[in-house]
Amino acid sequence: MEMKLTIGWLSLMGLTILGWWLGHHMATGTLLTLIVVVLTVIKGQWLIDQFMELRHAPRVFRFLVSGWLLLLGGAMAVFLT
Amino acid sequence: MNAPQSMTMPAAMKQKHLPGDLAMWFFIMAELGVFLLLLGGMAFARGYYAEIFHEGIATLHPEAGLANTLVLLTGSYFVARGVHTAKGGRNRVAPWFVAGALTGLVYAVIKIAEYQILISAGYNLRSSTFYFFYFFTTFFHFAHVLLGMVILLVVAQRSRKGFYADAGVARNAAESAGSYWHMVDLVWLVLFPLLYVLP
Repeated sequence: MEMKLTIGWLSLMGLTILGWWLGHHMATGTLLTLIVVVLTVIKGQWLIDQFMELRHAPRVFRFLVSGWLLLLGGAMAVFLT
Repeated sequence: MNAPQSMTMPAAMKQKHLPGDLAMWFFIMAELGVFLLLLGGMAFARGYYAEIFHEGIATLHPEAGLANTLVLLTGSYFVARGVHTAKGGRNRVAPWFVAGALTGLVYAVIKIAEYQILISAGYNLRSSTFYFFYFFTTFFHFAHVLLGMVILLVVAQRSRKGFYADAGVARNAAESAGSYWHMVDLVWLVLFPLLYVLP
């Protein structure tokens, strides 16, 4: 479990740096926005499942928090493309 | 006689477990509701006033945003490790939570430095729609980081002093504090691309 948390943390850091780098080096447009949104949702969901430990919580809690993340990811995808 | 017991074990292991107190989760849901409006509003405004947001974002400091994201993720990692020790009954919550609170302090220093640069340059809540959303939303989040630090330090101190009656209560307190801290981190993960990644 500790190893899983450590690998997850390092992966989150890596994906954060990747997204940030793409945002400042890739041509702006729909593709960049969608890549950044997908990276954000992946990172957020990992945090919800592993750090927050909602993967094994009563389903409604994971549904609400993941739904929150997906709603905002969707809002970004719709309004920023 | 042992058969029923061995049959119930897998069921018990699969039982759903809410990390922390139910009251804390009501609080977290209320907070997420407010942030949903703020971040959703910011995304909408960013699409609607694209030029104003583009100009405003150019005055921010992308490196500060990146640093703060890495700092908060590291804080969440420390806190998750602390909660993990509470589950194992080893109760080494305090050092991990204090480390988590320290990452909050680093975040605060970076954020205040960025506020200071922007305010010195003459920007404030009224400068434009962008600055309204920037100052209002990031400061509201900043206040949550401060509260998260207080919660972590209170639980760390109580845990160290043996305040909690048994391992179950100690675990519940650690999980409640941890869940709140992760919520604050989750909100920042969505703020980050809106302000510091997409130009």
